[in-house]
Amino acid sequence: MSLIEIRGLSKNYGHVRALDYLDLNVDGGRIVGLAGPNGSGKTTLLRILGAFDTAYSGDVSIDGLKPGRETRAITSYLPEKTALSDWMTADQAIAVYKDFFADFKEDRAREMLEFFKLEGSQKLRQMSKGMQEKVQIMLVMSRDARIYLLDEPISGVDPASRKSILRGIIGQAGEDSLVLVSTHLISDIEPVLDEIIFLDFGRVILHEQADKMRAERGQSLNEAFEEIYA
Amino acid sequence: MIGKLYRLEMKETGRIAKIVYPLMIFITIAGVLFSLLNIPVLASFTNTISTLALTLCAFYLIVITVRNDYHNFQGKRGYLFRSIPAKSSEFLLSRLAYYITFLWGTTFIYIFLLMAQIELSSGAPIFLLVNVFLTQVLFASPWGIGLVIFILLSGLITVIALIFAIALGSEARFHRLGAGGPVLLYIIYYIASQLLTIASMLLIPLGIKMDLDPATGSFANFELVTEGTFRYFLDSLRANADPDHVVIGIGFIFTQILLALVMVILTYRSFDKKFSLRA
Amino acid sequence: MSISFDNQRPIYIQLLDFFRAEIVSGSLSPGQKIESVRELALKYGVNPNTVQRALGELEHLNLARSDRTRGRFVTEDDEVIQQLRLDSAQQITEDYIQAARNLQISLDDALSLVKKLWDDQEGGKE
Repeated sequence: MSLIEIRGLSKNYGHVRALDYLDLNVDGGRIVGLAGPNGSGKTTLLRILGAFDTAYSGDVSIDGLKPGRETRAITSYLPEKTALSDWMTADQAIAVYKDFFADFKEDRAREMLEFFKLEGSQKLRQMSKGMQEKVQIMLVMSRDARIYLLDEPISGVDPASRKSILRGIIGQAGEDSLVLVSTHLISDIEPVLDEIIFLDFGRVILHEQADKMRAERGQSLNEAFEEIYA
Repeated sequence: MIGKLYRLEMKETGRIAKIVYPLMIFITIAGVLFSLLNIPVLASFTNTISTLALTLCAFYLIVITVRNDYHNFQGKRGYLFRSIPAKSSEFLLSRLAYYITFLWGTTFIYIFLLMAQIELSSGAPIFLLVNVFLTQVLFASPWGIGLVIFILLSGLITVIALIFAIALGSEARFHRLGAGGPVLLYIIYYIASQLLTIASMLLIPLGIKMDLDPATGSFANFELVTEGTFRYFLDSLRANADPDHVVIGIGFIFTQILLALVMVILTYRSFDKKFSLRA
Repeated sequence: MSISFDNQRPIYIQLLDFFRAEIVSGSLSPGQKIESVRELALKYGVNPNTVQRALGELEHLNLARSDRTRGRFVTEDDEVIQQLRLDSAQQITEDYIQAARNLQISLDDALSLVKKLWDDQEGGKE
């Protein structure tokens, strides 16, 4: 049984079909990229896996469970926009996460804060977008989760911070855990990926090992993306 | 978990309350001091203005209380709150406690400050009067105690209705209405509640018959009777009413409790129903 | 140090080539302990599984061995390292011959050019 098993997943937002009988199997112990143009269903898929949206049809199983309270305990979600109040400091945010998530490792969080060169006592609203993103990543990756769902972790962030964030992800992902990252900045993220999934119109059009794709196509994942979606 | 959730919910609104409550106290004191200067025409204006200001503060805080709860579970902070692995009942109870704290807290502080304002600026012994009323009249008789319990119950039911409106108004099927979903549901609840209350008052055969002294307008001699207000109502229309007695149906208490229970059950069930975080 | 990877070619192969070059040049000395998969992944900004694969290949080529408790080490077998040097040299030489032939240089001219520049480089090194 794969860590994530999806059969015939469909989701409509009114008249818009966000996901269209999507099938997908993903195993743990790897970093997987989720790519596709806007509206291809990346965020919708992540939200459903994160149990933030239960109004779908089809079968979704996370470690054998339907998305809900039990799966929330083993998935760690990074939303596109921060869900933290901007008057909070990193220290306060750490305290909140520590309070609610049994798998939250404070020493990891402190380590990452240092790695990102952030002040624990600085308020979020006094930070740049890149710094805020780093705080979010720090919180999400400091949980010892089985699945990390990251929605555009490096978009809208300066290039130097991007490298830093990607290193943060590499460093914290556990050996058996799955990191599912959605992004449209493929060239920045490709060296970090084990596998890549391409979505289009709510379906999976490709799911391949990164190096295998490079060997077969003689192209970078980014070039393949441009060619496929041309 | 309920305690943790409660404390987290309190944090956001608490920051505003920490400013608004002291502000209300300041308004009261400032108003009183100013009116003690006894400048002829302005004195009465002062009380009106400070009462208005206090009312606005209280109203603002109540709106913020609801707004923050909405953002916690259906809005901006949804990705944080909804990722917490707590049971539906734990979420529900923590929110109930949160609402009771701020809605009742704000109401009490508001009433207290109004009373203080009157007493300090006019010298009328409001607190003494209220104290006397409470000890000698209200809590002295079983009817009074019943009234107090009824008022507290109404407060609780209002809170339940708020959470019900937010929970159901945010279900996936109302997605298109956005924040209008909860508002619409609350309005529906309110209208339904009022209609039910009137119908129950009239028709359910349980009421309080009181002697009415038309001269002083005071009530006396409460008696439990097995009829609703319907007959008295008809008699009034036909100008046949007994001028010395009035019957007030109290059957609506049961309907209100029933309505509250229905809302609690529907709210609880809605947590497991299909929902879509609109953030 | 941070290598920049060519995203058009399998990254594990590029890593493998890099490690082989390090062994040949002596940057990775015989018997030296190789950093952990995670440390290397962080250092070079790549996926840990990719590093694992490259190191696995290295072991398969007998250029490294792993001791379950103490970690991975570069081989101390001088013959293997020498063979690696020769293999690398062969590849470079074949590429050179191809290039020289394309320029239509005779074998004698090529050899005397090599001899001249070899000595020059020797001098430059000291």
